[in-house]
Amino acid sequence: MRITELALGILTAVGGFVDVSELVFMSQAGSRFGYALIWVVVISTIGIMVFGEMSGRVAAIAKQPVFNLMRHRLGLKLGLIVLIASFLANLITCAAEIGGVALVLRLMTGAPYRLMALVATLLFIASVWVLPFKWIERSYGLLGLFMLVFVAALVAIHPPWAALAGGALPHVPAGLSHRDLLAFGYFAVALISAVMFPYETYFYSSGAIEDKWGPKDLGINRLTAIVGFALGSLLAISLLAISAQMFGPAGISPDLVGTPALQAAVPFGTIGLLLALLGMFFAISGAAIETCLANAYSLCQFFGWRWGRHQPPRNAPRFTLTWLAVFAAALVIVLTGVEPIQLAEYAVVASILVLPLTYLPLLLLAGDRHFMQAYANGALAKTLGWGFYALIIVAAVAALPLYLLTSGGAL
Amino acid sequence: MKPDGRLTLIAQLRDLQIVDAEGMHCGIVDDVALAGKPGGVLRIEALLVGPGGYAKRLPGWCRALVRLVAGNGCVKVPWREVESITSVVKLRHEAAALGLDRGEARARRWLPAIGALK
Amino acid sequence: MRRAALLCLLLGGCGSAAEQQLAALKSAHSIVAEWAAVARAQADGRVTDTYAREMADDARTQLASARRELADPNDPAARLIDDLGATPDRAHLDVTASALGALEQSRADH
Repeated sequence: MRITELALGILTAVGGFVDVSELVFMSQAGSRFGYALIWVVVISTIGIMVFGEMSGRVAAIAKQPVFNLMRHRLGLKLGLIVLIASFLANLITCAAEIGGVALVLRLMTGAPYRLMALVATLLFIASVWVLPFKWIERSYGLLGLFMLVFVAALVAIHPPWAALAGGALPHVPAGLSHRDLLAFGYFAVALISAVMFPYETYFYSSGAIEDKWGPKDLGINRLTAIVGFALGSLLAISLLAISAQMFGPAGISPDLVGTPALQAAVPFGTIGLLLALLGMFFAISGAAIETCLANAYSLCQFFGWRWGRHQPPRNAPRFTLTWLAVFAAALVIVLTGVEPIQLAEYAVVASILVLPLTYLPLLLLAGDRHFMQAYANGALAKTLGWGFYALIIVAAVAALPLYLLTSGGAL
Repeated sequence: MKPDGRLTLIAQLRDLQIVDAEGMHCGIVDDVALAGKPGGVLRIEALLVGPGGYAKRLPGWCRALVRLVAGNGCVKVPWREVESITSVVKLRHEAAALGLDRGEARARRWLPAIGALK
Repeated sequence: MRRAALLCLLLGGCGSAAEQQLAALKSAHSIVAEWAAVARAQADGRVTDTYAREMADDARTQLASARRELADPNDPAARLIDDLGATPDRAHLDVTASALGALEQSRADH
């Protein structure tokens, strides 16, 4: 039973790893810089493993999610700043995901984009209202495994494996112009943000409470965070690597959300295309639901309201109204006509600015013996946690200048 | 920590989650009401829950915004209603008996009575 | 607005006019190349007609947006995009993508 639970948790993490921002930025990074940014994906994945494991451990031991304990630890004023900043970043991200799903549905059916955005949002609302939490998490996560067609596509195009592996070693390509160096820095920051999105830890920690995790689940937590995210990142690296081989030489950036699906269509034909589009649909849909629920969790936990999908919607009314309102607000943003790729860029920049505020309370709580008792951060977790936190600070400080100087990577 | 144990700082109590006798979340300790005269015994009179409780802790320009968005409602939970304090404040009675469920009741009126799968 | 402009100035400008034009050219090159790739895949029977049609629609919209950034109508890049028309064939897309790529390379080197 626990093996099944573990396997499902890992598969869900794999299927749910990629969202619209990763789809866009992995493809663009591969096209522009070949395999040279793979090491950034690897390092960011280790970072999300570290913080993901911490957030699951905090939820299992303190029995309170991060936002609950964060207000007590940081105080009302700073807690409110974190809440507002992360709420806005998650809202933009949710809008980007809904826009991405609408585009995928349009590519599959030919139906109008705005209509598909509305249809997608109604589908998400119905899913969250009707399905129990475990089904919500697992259905989209497991169906997101259609994305594995990209891993198969990578194998099928016979990449230079040695060069690909070389990309996993930290380096900056030699001979880059000043402009390209800035763009390299921008994509590095964007990939860190896309892999370590704050909504992932909020959702993971609240999900652990929804699933009633306790000390006996710490093993599952650790394995899910490590193995699930590692395998998920292989999927993301596949997108980058295929783009390096297929799009880079053709001068493709790519600028259209549907272009990554060509990565599976070229080796496998229409079957590959349809599997890729299905995978994109479920993976991005899962991300839309996660970002929305992450906002509802954060708001309700901050004000101490009832929350969670482990109870019927009418038993946690303010929580239900919150996630309905977040979906509605995200849909309105999409209906204004802002391009999903543009929204994904805003989401990535907004999120990296918020990351230091997001992860500081988690680090402090996970190391606090008053809440965590014998399960507080040990030497390894402390070293890795604070090390990655320093990296996040550097990325957050560099994000906005790099975005402006490179026109969002366009130069 | 039990209420008859040592509570050394109001900060230990403020911003803790409140759960009622049934374990349902019903607010956060937004502030604490004290009673007593200078030079005499100062004791906790009640927990303050709601925007009327936390708005005072924010800068002046924020208070008007909070009042506009959330109102200035505040529920006073008498200190005798507190059963225990650990990482949460546990109450002796249900939220409804203490007036802590009004927000949820108001929100529920907006929701349709459509069931969900268990 | 003034603070944003000041930030841009401090950061060496949110792209000079030449850099904005280069960004638009890069975008146009990429879009045409994507459009060409989709057309090629459709001719090979590797994508559905719905996918190809919707991607072409997207490409037209995005290309129009990039074209608006190229202010000078005599700009060779602007003329290449204008010559493409609404329903170019695969060969025309390939040639235009190559030409835009060459222009991008020469402007980036300066």
